[in-house]
Amino acid sequence: MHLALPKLALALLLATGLRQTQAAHLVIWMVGDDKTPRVMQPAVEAYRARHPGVTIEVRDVPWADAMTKYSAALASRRGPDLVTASSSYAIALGAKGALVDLAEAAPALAAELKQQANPGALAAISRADGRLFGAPFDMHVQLQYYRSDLLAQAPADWDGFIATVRSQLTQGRGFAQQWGNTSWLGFYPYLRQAGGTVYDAGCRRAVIDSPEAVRALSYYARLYRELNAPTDGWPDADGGLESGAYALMQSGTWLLSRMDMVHKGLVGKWAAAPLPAGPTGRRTAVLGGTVLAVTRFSPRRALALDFMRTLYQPEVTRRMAEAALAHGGMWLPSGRQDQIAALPLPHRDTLLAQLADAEGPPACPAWIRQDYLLTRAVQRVVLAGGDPQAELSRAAAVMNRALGAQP
Amino acid sequence: MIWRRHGRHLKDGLLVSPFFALFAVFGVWPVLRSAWLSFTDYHATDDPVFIGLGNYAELFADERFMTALANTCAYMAWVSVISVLLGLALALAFGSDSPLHRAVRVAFFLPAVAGGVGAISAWKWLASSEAYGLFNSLRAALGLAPARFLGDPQWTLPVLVLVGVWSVLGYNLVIFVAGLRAIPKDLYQAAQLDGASPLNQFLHITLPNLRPTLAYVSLTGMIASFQVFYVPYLMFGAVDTLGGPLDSALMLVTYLFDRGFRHLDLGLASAAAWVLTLVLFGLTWLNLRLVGREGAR
Repeated sequence: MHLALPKLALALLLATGLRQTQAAHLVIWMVGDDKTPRVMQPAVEAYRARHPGVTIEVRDVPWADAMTKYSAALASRRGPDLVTASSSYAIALGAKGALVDLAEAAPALAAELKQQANPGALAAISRADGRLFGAPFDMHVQLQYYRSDLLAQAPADWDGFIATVRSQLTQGRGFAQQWGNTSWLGFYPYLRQAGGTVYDAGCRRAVIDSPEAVRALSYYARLYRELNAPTDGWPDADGGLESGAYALMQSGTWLLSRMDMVHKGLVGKWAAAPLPAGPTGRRTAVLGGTVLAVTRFSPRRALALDFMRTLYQPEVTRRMAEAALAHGGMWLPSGRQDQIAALPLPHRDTLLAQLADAEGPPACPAWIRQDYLLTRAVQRVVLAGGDPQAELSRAAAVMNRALGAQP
Repeated sequence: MIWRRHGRHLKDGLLVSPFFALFAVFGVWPVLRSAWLSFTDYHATDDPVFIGLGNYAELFADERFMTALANTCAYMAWVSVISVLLGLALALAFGSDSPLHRAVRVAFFLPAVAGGVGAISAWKWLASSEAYGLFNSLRAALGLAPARFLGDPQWTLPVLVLVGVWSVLGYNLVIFVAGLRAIPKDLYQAAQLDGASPLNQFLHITLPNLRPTLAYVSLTGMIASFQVFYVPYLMFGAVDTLGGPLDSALMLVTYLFDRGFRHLDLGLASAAAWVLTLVLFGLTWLNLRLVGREGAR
């Protein structure tokens, strides 16, 4: 009996100690390469300055391994407290109950994001029912890149674009789309520029067979049928820009900081511009990137949310973006768009113009299961000469059947 | 008494038990678990819910799954047939111990050890639709128009089969050379004395004696072809697509990966894995019946 009390005290002490250790250690998984965690370092330092007892471990997860690692972590109900993921994947994870709803768990942060985040990036992660399974973290957007020594300026609208590429083709130079070529992602900006959408506002019905969508796909198909654009999944468009095979191309903003480093022959010979405007006058581009989310099984949910609040403070976000620039990269904070204008970014005006008219993929839970249907419709038209109206109607019918089956 | 009678067996059992323990945990248990999960609605975030044959019904109603199954069967058939026939032909042509034949065998075997992501990147470069793509350069030299090897569904399977054959041909060649060397030389000498032609020697001595090797090579080749993943994934997958142009490069394991890890439909992905397993069992049985037993006889 006399030994029982010290034993109990020791057990309590150990248990408390374990709880404290658990509470004071945050694990963050970031999709990307081994340089990706560097972006997070200023946020880690800022948080640790205020909370010296907290340790934060930031690990990179290669894109190719992300889904398997995340699934394994979810199945074991252990793993990271915070993760970054693409917005579509985060929507899917949220729908399965894997992520914390920020609108409920951190309403002040969610409200702040509504004020400060890039609207397109926020819309891509905001569900129609108001739930928010992650905060916009970083973003890329499609741009036009062109040879400034061959073209006076980039085409401003659809007709101008066709005319410019036709003129270049007579001189042996063509056009290539890189990011999203011949898939839903490559077609999506044209769809939005024509005024079409994939789903209705409540995500209850696919409206991909609208006249606007048909017009967009008819135009998109011309890039391949008339302008002979390559159909490879990821053509070497930047290499082709350097060799002169292409006078114009479309790709992501990551090239802004890399083009001169990778293609020495292009230094001083290229420029970037927003995408050509469609019939609505809009120059909408697809917004890619990641969101930051708290996992449902995190035992340190409060700490993780507190870290997020620190990360989205203006000075912390700015330091993160500056750290990326210092390492030769470019990190565009989609959660604090107000900070981008102050950064010494390459081609900043072009970038800001395009970011003002950019959208992520549809934030509907069904989208990640149905995106291949739109890709198939696009490819049937582009690669197999299908009729845009017929293919989009067929895709819409399949999508609506599945949506009708959902509760 | 018991120790005396069974002591040696117990000691042996104890010595091999670590292996069996690990095998049970990492080999048997996941297989049994996946069989159970294939009958459940399971998404990793919640406990599995039994749904009977629901996943199997969904699989066979899914047009994409059937596309993946058809693509995989076609890929398996072409790679198996070509790599076995070509491997055997090369083994007959380059099976001696001369330095030239050894060098040829090493050259063909290199892809088996030097494959991986780097090699697939090189193939992507060779098959690129851009002007510098080697295949298109060769076509241009022959006066042919450039082809979209990576962007046209008609070219997808030929390109994948080419890479698949390239990666296993050296392995088949080496196994066939070993099989050919195991055939007793006196059989050929006796046949020559009887005036048998080289073709008759091949048909009546080489082929019957090579049947166990043929069974092994074709079986392992078929299994490996059916499990193909990283070649189509790296050559035709992109951030927004997995199956290449019109899903012409969508294979069973790619489909399984997509459903299991992108959509977190782990129950359905387990069902797909069991369909794959059953197909492989069927092919193995058929192969052993057609080739193996004859060889054994």
